[in-house]
Amino acid sequence: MPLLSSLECDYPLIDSDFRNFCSSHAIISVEDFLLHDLYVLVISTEQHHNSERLKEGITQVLTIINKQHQPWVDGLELLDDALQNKRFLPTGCRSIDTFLDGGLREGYLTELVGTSSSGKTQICLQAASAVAKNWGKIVFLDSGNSFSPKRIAQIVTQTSDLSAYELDKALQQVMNNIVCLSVFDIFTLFEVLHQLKNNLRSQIDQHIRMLVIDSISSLITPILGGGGAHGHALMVSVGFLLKWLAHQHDISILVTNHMVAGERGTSKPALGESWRSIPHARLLLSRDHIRNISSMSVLRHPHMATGDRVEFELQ
Amino acid sequence: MASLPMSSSFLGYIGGSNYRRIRNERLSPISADSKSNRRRVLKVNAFNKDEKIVAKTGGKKNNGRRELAFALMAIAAASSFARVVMAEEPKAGTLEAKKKYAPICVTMPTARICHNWFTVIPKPSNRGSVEMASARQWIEGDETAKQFLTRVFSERPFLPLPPPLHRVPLRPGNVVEIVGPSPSSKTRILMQAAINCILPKEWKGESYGGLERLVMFIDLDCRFDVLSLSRSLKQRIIQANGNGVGHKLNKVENSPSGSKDAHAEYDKELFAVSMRRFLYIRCYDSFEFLATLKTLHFQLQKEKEAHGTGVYLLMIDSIGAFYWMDRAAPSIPPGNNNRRSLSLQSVSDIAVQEIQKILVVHPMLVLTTKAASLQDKFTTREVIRNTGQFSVESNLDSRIRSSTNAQLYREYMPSVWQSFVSHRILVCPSDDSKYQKKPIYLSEWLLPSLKLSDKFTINDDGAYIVS
Repeated sequence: MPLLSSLECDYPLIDSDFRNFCSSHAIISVEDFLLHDLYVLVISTEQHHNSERLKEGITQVLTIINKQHQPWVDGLELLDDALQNKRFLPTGCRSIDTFLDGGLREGYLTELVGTSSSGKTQICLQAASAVAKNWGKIVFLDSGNSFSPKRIAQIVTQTSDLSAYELDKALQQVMNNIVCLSVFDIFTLFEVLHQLKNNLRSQIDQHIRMLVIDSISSLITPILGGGGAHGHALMVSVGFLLKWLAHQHDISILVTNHMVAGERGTSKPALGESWRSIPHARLLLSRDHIRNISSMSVLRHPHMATGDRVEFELQ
Repeated sequence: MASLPMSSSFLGYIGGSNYRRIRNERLSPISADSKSNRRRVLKVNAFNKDEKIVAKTGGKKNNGRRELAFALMAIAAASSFARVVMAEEPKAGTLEAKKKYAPICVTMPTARICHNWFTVIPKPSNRGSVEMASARQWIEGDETAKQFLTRVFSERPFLPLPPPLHRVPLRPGNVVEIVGPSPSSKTRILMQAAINCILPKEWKGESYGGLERLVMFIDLDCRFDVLSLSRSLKQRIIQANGNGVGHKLNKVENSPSGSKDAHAEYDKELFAVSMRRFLYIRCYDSFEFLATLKTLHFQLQKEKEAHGTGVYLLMIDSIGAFYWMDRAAPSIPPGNNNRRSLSLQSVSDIAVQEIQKILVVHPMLVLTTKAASLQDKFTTREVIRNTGQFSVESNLDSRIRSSTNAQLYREYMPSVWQSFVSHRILVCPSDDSKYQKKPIYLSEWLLPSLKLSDKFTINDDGAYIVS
C-alpha cells in the first residue's frame, strides 16, 4: 500500500500539512491508516486550526482505502462469472470427469493426495496433455523431476486415433502448450508465481488454462516445523496466491500432496491442519496394485459429499 | 468525480460517530486542554449529576435503560440550549444535528427521533427550539408498549435460522461463531441461513418464509462456491412452489406434462431478485479485510439506498484465515518507532472495534465461522487404513463424546475476539455409519452452554435434524 507522500500528486488534499498531522500520529502509509482508530483521529483534528481540511483529508484517504479491497458483487454477478468464465477442464480420464461433474474447474484449487505411486503424477500428466491438446496453455511446476515429455507423447498417442501426420501436428501443439519449470524450493515458487501474476496482469501470458504443481508438499514440508510461524505463513501465503490466480484469471490449479503417518496406523495428508482449509477440493487417490485398479474419493469438495468414491483404470 | 458523494457520506459517518465517543470519554484520558475538550468534561460532570436526579425522581420506573436515556436526553437538550444562550454558534449543517442526537441514538437506537438519524436536517435558524420540541415530544412518551413492540419487531425482525442454529434465539447485534474442523459444513450452514434471509416472505401468492433482507458475505477463505448457493436457492424455490403450484395445476387440468414442467421450472425472477440480495466480497489478506471493514458503513448505506432494505446478516467466513500470515508479520515496522504494526493482535483489535461501531448504527446479526482442529480421532474420517478401529469408535455415545469436545478444540484467536463473540457453536462430522449416503454432523452450543447435542445433515434443499 502506498506511502502518503506518494499520493499528493493524485490527491491534492494530502498535502504536507495533512502529512505532518498524520506523522504526529505515527501514520506514514495508507496501511497505517487501516491500523488506526479513525474516530480518535477525527477528534484530534479539532485541536488544529485547519480541522475541516484535515477531516477532508481523512475522508480522502478513506476513499483511497475503499479502492484497496476487492469490489463488492451481488450473487447474480458472481453466478454469471462462475457460469461464463469458469469452465470444467478434462482430466484425461473419462470416469474421473463424470465423477467430478465434468472435470477440474477453472477458479478452483484442486489437491490430489495419495501415497507414493498412487497415480498422482500420472493424473497430472494426463490432465496436462488433455488440456494442452484442446484448451490452451499449461504451466507445469515440477519439484521432483517427475515431468516426462515422453510420457506425454505416449498419452497423446494412446488417446487419439489420428494418422501419422495429424498425430505429429497434435503432438507438436501439445508440447508447445506445456511450459515446464523446475522448482526446488518455496522461494523459487514464489518468484515464479509472482512472475506469472505480473505477466497475466500485463496480458503477456494469455490462454493459460491450468497450473500444475507436482508436488507442492515437497516444497512446503522443508519450511514447516521449528516452532516459528514463518513456515506456516509462507504456506498460507502460497495458498492465497494460488487462489488469487485461480479466481482472477480463471485458471484451474492442480497440486499434489503426499501422505504421512497419522495416529494408530492411519495415514493422513501432509501439511497439517492449516493447509486443510486452503484447497477448494481435496481428492484422495489410492491404488490396488494387484488388481491394477485405482480409486479416487472425496475428502472435501464444495458440493460433493465427503466419501464419494469412483474406481478407474490408469493406463 | 465518483468520489464526491462518497466523501460526504464518509465524513457524515465520522462526524456522527465523533460524538458517539463522548459516551466513553470517562474511560479514555482527555489529552489536551482545548476548548471543545473542556466542554466535554463539563458535560460528563453534568451527566453524573443529572443521572442522579433522574434516578431519584423516576422512582416508579424500573427500566434502567430508559432512565439512562432520559438523563442523556436532558443533557443533549441542555447542552444544545446552553450553546444557543452562550451564542457560541456551531457551524450549521447536518453534521451538528447528528452530533446532537448521537448520545440518544446510541443508548436508544429505536427511539423515535433516531428513525431518520442520517437524514434529519433541522433548519439552522431555529434549530435549538426544534430540538427542544422533538426532545420534549420524545420524553412525553407518545407510544404504547404495543406500538413500541410492533415497531421493534418490524425494525429488528426475527429470522428463523436453519438447524443447528435454531436452538438459541439470535437477534441483530449478536455475534455467533461456528467452530469446527475443516470440513464440517460450516459454510453450508451460512449459505442456508443466507437463503432464509434473502428469500421474500411472500411472492406472487406463494409463501417462502424468508425475510427479504440483504446478506453481506465477507469471504476470507476465498473458497465460496456460488453454484452451491444457487443450487440450494433453486431447490428451495421449487420446494415452496412444489406444494402450491403443482397443486393448482392438478386442480385446473390433470395433464402430466404441466405438473412436470412446474416442478422442473423455478421462478427465474424470484431467483434473480433473491440472488441480488446476496452481497459478496473476498479478501486475500488482512489489509483487504480491514479496508473492507473500514468502508463497510459506506457500503451498507449504499446498498440500503439501492435495495430499499437494510442488511440483516453479516457473515465472515472464516475469521482465522489469516492467522499465520498475521502472526508472522514483522513485529517492528520500518521507520518510526511509534508506528503501529500489523499483528494478529492489532488486526483483531481493529476488526472488533470496527464491527462494534457498525453494529451500533446498523444492527445486524453477525455469523462467523472459525476452523479449529479437534483431536485426531475426529479427523480419522480423512483416511482409514484400519477400518476395524473405526467402527468401534462410532459405537461411542455421542453425548459423552460431544461434551468432551468442548475441551478438545484449540482456541487460537486473541482474547479480544473471543470476548466479542456472544454465541458459539461447535460442529463436527460424526462417524455415524447408519446413513451411508449423507454425511451427518454433530453440533453443540458452547456459549450459551446447552448440554445437548444435535445431529443434522445438510442437503441442497436445506438443513435437517436427524434423530
